[in-house]
Amino acid sequence: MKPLLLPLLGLLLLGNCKDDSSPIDPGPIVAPGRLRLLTTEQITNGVRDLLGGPALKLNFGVRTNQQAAEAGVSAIMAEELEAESQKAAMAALTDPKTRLERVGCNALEMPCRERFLRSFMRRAFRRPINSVELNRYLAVSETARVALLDPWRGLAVAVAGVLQSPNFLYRIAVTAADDRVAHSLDLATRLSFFLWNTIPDEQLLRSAENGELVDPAVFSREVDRLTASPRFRMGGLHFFSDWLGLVQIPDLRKDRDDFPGFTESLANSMRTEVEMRIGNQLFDANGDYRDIFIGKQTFVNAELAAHYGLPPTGAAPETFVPAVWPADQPRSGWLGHAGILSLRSAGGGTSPTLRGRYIMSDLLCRTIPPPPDVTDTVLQLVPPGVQWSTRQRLAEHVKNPICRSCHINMDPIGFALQNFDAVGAYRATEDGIPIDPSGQLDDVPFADAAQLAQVLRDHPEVPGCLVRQLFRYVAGRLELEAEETWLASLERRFAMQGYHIPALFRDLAKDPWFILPVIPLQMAATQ
Amino acid sequence: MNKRTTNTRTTNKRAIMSRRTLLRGAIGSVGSVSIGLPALDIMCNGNGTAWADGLPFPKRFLIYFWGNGNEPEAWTPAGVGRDWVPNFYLSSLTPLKDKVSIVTGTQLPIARRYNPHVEGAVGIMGAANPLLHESYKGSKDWDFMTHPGPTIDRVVAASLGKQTPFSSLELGATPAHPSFGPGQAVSFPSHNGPFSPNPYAFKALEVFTRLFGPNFRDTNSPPDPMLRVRTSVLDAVALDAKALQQRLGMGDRMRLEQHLDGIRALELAILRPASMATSICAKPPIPKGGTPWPGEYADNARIMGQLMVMAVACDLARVGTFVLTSPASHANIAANIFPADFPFACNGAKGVSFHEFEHCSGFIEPVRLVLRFMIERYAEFIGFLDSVPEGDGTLLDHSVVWGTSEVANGWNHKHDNFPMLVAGSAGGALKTGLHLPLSGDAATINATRVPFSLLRALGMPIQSWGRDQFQTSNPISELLA
Repeated sequence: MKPLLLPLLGLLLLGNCKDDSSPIDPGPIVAPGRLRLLTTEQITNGVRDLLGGPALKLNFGVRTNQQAAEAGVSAIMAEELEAESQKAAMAALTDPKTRLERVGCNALEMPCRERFLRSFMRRAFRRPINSVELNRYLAVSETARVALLDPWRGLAVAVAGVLQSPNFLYRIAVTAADDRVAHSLDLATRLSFFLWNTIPDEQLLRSAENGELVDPAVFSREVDRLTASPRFRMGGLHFFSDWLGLVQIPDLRKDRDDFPGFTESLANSMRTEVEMRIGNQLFDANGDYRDIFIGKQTFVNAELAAHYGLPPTGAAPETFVPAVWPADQPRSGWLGHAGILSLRSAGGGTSPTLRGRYIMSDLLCRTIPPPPDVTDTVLQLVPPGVQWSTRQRLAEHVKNPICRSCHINMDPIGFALQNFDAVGAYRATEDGIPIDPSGQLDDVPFADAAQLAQVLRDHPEVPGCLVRQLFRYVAGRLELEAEETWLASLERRFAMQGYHIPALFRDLAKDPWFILPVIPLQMAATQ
Repeated sequence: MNKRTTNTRTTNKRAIMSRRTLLRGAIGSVGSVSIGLPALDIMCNGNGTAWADGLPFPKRFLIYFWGNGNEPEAWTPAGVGRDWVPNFYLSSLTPLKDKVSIVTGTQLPIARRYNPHVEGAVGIMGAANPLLHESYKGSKDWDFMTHPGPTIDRVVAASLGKQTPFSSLELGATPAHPSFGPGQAVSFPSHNGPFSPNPYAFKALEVFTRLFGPNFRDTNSPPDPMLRVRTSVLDAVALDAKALQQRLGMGDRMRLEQHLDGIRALELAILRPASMATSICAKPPIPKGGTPWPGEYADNARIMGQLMVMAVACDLARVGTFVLTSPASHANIAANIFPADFPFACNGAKGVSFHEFEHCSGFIEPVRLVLRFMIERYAEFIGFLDSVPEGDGTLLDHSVVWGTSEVANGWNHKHDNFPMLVAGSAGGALKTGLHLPLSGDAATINATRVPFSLLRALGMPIQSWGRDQFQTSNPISELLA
């Protein structure tokens, strides 16, 4: 055991005997359980790294990290995995043009099959393979080779099995650090899924197998290497996708009569735009996180350009190019993206309540209590022959004291975005009535969405909420009361380093909280 | 309901139109050809009461679930017993009136501590209070609730599901309300236990492929060496899972056990050909793919309903849950019912989820039409089952189709006078065609008495159903034959 970890472990494992003079606060002690299911994206990314070739199509896996911490493989997911892993393995390993290169030797020879399976299983399971496991899948490969009269297909069948194994599908956390190698392997898997959202590469895996990764210098070097890799951009983006629900955008369905232009293709472009902007600004340019809330610089393809009222650009209709949103609209930053605005709208109209809740609850991490058990939720009918704005129609939400207690924290902020309809297109009026987007957030007034964007950019709770959300993403659960102090220190470090996202990922990865083995939640709560 | 006569006409016309479209079997539908082929006598035992191998026709248990309930004061029919009179909500049941029983006056005794839709979903499907994830801290409680144990479909599947490739099938017509937190009780009515939902499939092409694609073989299919190979893979995976289980705590062991259940079910699906014991099994035509759009939901309910009925006819499954809309009914199902220029009372909010639409409107006529639409889909579904002859009767006669929801009244979250429709007699074990109003103390009107009665009719060897205040051991005797 290397010097850094020993005192920490002492504190952790002995629980109650707290040493206040310790230079390092062990902070929170975490983990939802020992097993954590890979998310759909993690499975897909892992298979891509292992096999290359076409991506798996999984509809019934889990999408968010908080679900992955608790969920298992449902029957329908097991079915889907069986079919998809078979397809992927066959495509990768039986094509006469590529199979030799992918397998690295001739599968007609038994030692080749054994060698390939051993190395494939090691990477898929993220650890050395014992002989029982190897023989299990080798036997599958041999049975299949005989039955199908084809050693390449036999190998593919075994590979499909490896991809369905719980050893691939679950991360299995160690709960004690007395075994350097076990702890190193655990760290490698957690680090790789955190920073890359996929399985460890050869170098990381090797340093884990040697038990070196618990060495603080080695670990720190690996964190730096992983965050310097181009893969970090993809892994980091996935945090934003998980937190902000970007993965849902392509599934959005809008009313076809009102929004005939809203197609699956446009929805996909909307998601791409958001990811390109985050990737460009926060990862490639290493910008200040807070600036994501403002600015008109973005990326569009032809259909998005038309959606924003910009001239068509790009070599091909699907090519994304840098663009600037129209200057005469209050479209600015994070809340100006059509994808975000569509996501927090109903199918046929905007929802100031949903949009307001999104800002307060997701971006500011405030608690909005669930609706009370009320008996009458009917809004006042619009009098015949009169046109009401959405603000007027929802007035009841803030007049009625029962509604008001919660809606006052959502609707008034959401009204700021009323200049953007349910698919995020700009409008100056709603049914002929001029829109009043003004309001205030925590007593800071704003005149429109662009000013709200600036208010959020400068809001003191915004960086802390980001830190909290990143913690939830990594831990797979919400934070505990006992973890608040430590989270505050993480936030202070985020501020001190200038609100850079890659640095925050590195800081969290190198924190003792991440390095120490995870222990189950109930135990964490009582420490 | 007297204000908008003109609109009623428009609306009805639209509804009729869509029914006509439905009959045409448009948009790559399963069509009517595959449903209702006559059973060949040679396949039966001669007197039409059992399969040729002498086994009685199996009992099937299907749940037809929709979100947001109904209108408790108005759905209750006049007349009791056999003399019930179909009303505005129940008129679609008229053709099958003799095969449906309606239980009114029940109450689902939810604790009313958290989101009433999720408490209701856990209460009606699992007869229990929800478990709340321990990290919950005050926001979005619906994202943190899960079932403490198996839902009723999984309880039945544990015995009725053993004989079929799928121990239970979860299909639906509309996208589930998405959940982001650890609890998914708000999205998926069927659960195996805590944090173990059975997501329902609602994309027709995927479901077709799953049921009638490469895995579908009938007794005439040629031997395929790949089948044995695939089961040998699953055997290896199961051995891996069992080895791993030894190293885990109780909770994680259970998670892997559910994975193992899925693997075992898949092995069965691979090895067992679809039953051709009756000639009613036929591979339906290939439907179109993709996520349905609002406006296509009625079509999708029909296509998916027919796929489920055909899966039952082919004995691919004997237990299933059909989710027309997930709890709270956030799907924009109203888009099916109203023309583009319908003057909505609620904020001009055409295209909002039905959930929000009902909340801000109350029981105005458009809301009532949507609620009726839900029961019409149920009626259509049991109609499909009834169109499949089996022995002396129909597939419906050998089934129970329980139509229900997670609230009685979605507008103000009441759980009194819960929607409770029971179609089919489970092979003569249930009395049908009755209106049974319940009244009395909390135990007497406990809504879980209905599912408990169904468990009895299905021959489940259990003495009681439910936990805590949901628990009952008192079936509704008037329902049981």
